[in-house]
Amino acid sequence: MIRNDIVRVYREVHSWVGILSGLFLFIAFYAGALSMFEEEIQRWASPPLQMEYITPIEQSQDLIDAVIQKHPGAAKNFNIILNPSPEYPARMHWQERDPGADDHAPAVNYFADFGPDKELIVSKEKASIVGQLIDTIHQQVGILIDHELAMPITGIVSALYALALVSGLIILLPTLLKDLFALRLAGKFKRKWLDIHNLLGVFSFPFHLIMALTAVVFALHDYFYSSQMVTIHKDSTAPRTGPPAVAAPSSDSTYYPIDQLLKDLAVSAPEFKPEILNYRQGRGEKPKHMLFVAGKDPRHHASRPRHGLVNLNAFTGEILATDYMPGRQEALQATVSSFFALHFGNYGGSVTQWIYLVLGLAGAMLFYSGNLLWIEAKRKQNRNKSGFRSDQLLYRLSIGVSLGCIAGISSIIAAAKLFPTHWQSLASAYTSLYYLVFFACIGIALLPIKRDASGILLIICAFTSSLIPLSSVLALSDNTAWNHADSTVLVDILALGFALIFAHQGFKRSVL
Amino acid sequence: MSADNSAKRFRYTNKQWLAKLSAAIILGFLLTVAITGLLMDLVFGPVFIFSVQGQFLMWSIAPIWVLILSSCFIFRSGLRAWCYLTAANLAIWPFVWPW
Repeated sequence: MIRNDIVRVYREVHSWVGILSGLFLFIAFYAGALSMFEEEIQRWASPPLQMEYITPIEQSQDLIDAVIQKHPGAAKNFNIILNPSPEYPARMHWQERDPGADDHAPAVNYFADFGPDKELIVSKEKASIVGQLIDTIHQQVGILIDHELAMPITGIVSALYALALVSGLIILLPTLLKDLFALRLAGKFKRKWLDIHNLLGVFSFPFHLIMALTAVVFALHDYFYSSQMVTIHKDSTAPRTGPPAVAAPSSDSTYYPIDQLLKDLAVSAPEFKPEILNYRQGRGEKPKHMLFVAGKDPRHHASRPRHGLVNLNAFTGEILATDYMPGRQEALQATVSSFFALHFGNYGGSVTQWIYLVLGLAGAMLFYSGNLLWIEAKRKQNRNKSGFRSDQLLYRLSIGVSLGCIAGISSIIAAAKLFPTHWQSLASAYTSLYYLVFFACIGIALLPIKRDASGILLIICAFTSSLIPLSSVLALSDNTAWNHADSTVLVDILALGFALIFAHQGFKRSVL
Repeated sequence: MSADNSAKRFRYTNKQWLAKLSAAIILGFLLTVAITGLLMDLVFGPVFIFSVQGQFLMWSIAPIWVLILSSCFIFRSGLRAWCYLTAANLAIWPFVWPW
């Protein structure tokens, strides 16, 4: 039995860390849940591919030579896309920073192919940036500043989140069995939300513990590595290891033919489905080359958000290392990869994708209900107070931030099809739109009127979400817009579903 | 337990939360790095920082530090938190520091 003074201590800890991190976590979980379908959203938002211009795989070497001659910077690191798609709309892709830009400036995506007369066509940034932006909102808990500056904030939020989980479990333990299955929906406001909060918290506890611990590492790993570097690894004489690299056999040697490489790989690793070939080159007189093949194997967990990697010799096609290859890893390596996989939900195919979507949305609900409970407790304390009321401010902030985030994300997805063409690849246009909608919602919530703004905000969420399927319908009669005849219709259906739920909830409340 | 006894019994509060939490953040982090060093010495031996073992050691910071952060509230006082965590650091660091 846990002493009740300890339970009391952790109840206070839980409510404070919860209230400090809850709104950031709501944003992280809502955007994170949607990013389970980042590939679908990305394709939905990207104009269709001009298939007649895709270079045949057999001519990849000519394409590589032609690109490197015109853009020497590409040689350091480029991709050969095996199955070009709207989000990777060409055979060859690389990233370069604009000359003079500093290291933190976002890189520009370049795509290259041969035209009908074998002339080189290079274009910048054809794929939509919406998918990446949702991912950034997730990673940076909604704070769209420089990545390096945002990460410590995410780290602190994640640590508070871990603390909230542990303290929440301690509070609940003494009455766990008694309270868990009691879902007193008909009872008082507080009882109902507390039961929902506990039920969601207990049943998704393992999911949340994994998310909290991995998020701490993703956000703070640079600091963790540096602190170990100057202490326990100081003056380490341990042999340096890294992905194996090979120098070119001679100065005019070409890469191993890609069509042959794929045939070899189909024999040596039949379950591994290659998608992208990433070539890298070191510096110096005789630079070392690396070739990573990124691909999927649905039967195993992968070490990167959506891919596993196998390291090949770029000149002979032989397999050099399978450290990051799904299903071919050593025990410890597979363990470390599983930390990534458990966060990204990249195992078990689309079933896991859906489960993570639901768990992620349930997580957002957990933080929202937590805030409501805090507000309700404070409202009771402040009942007879006049003037400034912390519960009212927090209530307004909670609905403004969470519903503003939902409306903002829906708007930027819809904007991918609704923006004028010359804005569609402009990152700042999407960031500005997100913030405009987000802060407008917070502004509405904070308006100095007595009426509850949640009704009108839910209607705004419903409206912005309905713009997503609407933009697809409008695209039917507009020849500059597009619809893909594939699974991306899922994005429209999901958005319509969300819009109906928001509209239903919104009209239940008094709107004006 | 008699009423007399329970009155004298120590009751935990959050009065010194800042002292306890700051000890867990600062000294707790140092202690965590020391524990990963101990783990390296006992399990892996010297390894390259970005090797698989090195990655595992980096990952193990998160659960250990979170454990310290969440248990710091059951130190009886802020002073005790700083004293105990200092003692724990002094006990481990001499063994893991690469002299």
